[in-house]
This record gives sequence, C-alpha cells and structure tokens, in this order.
Amino acid sequence: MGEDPSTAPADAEPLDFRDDLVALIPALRAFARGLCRDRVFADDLVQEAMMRAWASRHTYTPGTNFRAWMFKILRNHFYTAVRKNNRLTSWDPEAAERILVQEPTQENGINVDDVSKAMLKLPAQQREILLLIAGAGLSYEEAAEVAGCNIGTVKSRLNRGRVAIKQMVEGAPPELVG
Amino acid sequence: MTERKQPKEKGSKDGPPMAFDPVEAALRQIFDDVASEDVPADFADLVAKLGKNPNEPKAK
Repeated sequence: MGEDPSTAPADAEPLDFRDDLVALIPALRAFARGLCRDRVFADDLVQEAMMRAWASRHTYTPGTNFRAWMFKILRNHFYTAVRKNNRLTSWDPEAAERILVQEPTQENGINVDDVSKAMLKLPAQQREILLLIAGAGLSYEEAAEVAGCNIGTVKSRLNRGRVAIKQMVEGAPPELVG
Repeated sequence: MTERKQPKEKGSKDGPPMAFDPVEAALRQIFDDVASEDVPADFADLVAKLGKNPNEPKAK
C-alpha cells in the first residue's frame, strides 16, 4: 500500500497486498502471543487471520490503514475462538507462569518478566490495548479502530492497565487496581 | 519477513504521552522480543499458497 494505487498496474495489487501481509507477520505474531499467551495457538490465529484477510482483500481499500485492518481481523478471530472454546477465557495465573519462556531482565527499574506476568492477569480488553499501543505502537485512533471502541475508552483502558501492572509489579493486591 | 514500517514515536499526534514510562518500555520489549523471532516455515508455505486459486476474488 506504499505506492500510489493509480500508477500501479492492476495485476500488481495482489502482490502488494501479499507483501504488506508478509511484512506484518512479526507484529501479528507478537500481538496474538500477547492475547492468547500460547505460542502454537497464537501462530494458528495469525495464519487463520491471514487467510481470512486474503479472502477478503477485495474489501480492503488501498491507502487506508492496512495494519489496523489486519490487527482487527486477528483480534476478532481471537475473540471468536475464545467464545468457541471457554477454557481459553479462564485466566490461570499459575498456568500463565508456566507458559512464560522469557528470561527475566532488568531494564529501567522494571523487571520485564514481572510485567509479562502482570499482563496475563489483566482483563483481555486492557491487555489488548496495552499490546496495541505500547507494544505495536498504534495511535489511540488506530487502537480504537481495532478494538471497536472510542478513543476515550482506549485511553481509559490504557491507563487502567498501566496502573494495574505498575501496582502488581510493586506488590499491591491486583483487586485494588481494577 | 520483518515488519517495522512505521516508526513508533511516542508523543506523536493522537499518540500516548511523551513521558517515559518503564511499564510501556517493558511492554515494548516483550512485544519486540516476539516480533524479532524467526518466523516459522509454515508461514512461508501459507504465503506461497496465497493467490494460487484463480477463482478467488481480486483486490480492489
């Protein structure tokens, strides 16, 4: 989507779309991993989202935000899968700690591993906003588009999520940070 | 298969506040650690299959 569609040959558009899709795979994998916490399931989600996006590529308007469009497909597919399989909705902190594979590192006074654990205890709606904004670098507006809510809600979820993580990392009881 | 088309500048229009936040930095690191992993080969297989069906609808 980086070039002027009016100057691109029509036959090249599927290739552009595919290139953009390929370029986004690392970020999609990171977003999916953050959402579902499971490496294999996350990659399955991404692949399914890619196939859905490809099948629906005629609905994408070149020049609009491809990244937000793809994140939204992935996010919606994740929640559909969660609804189909209730076990994925039960956040188990002990299971979450077993899933963690990242070595603890110390950076800027915050232990990344502690933050990773705290993320797993957040409500999914806060976690997805933190992943989109702090992780993927989306703007408030883009995150609102992906999550299907307004910018005020995005800011609220972001702030609540950030505060909750900080308090969990610092040892406050999570139920106090709602 | 790398992605990072858009610079992630904090404090841009409609973006998060400029002040450094160690929690956000940690979240960025967590995200980037996964994003920098090698992409499994089955993704390449999937990409190779895209567009092979001539009956699929074309993009706009």
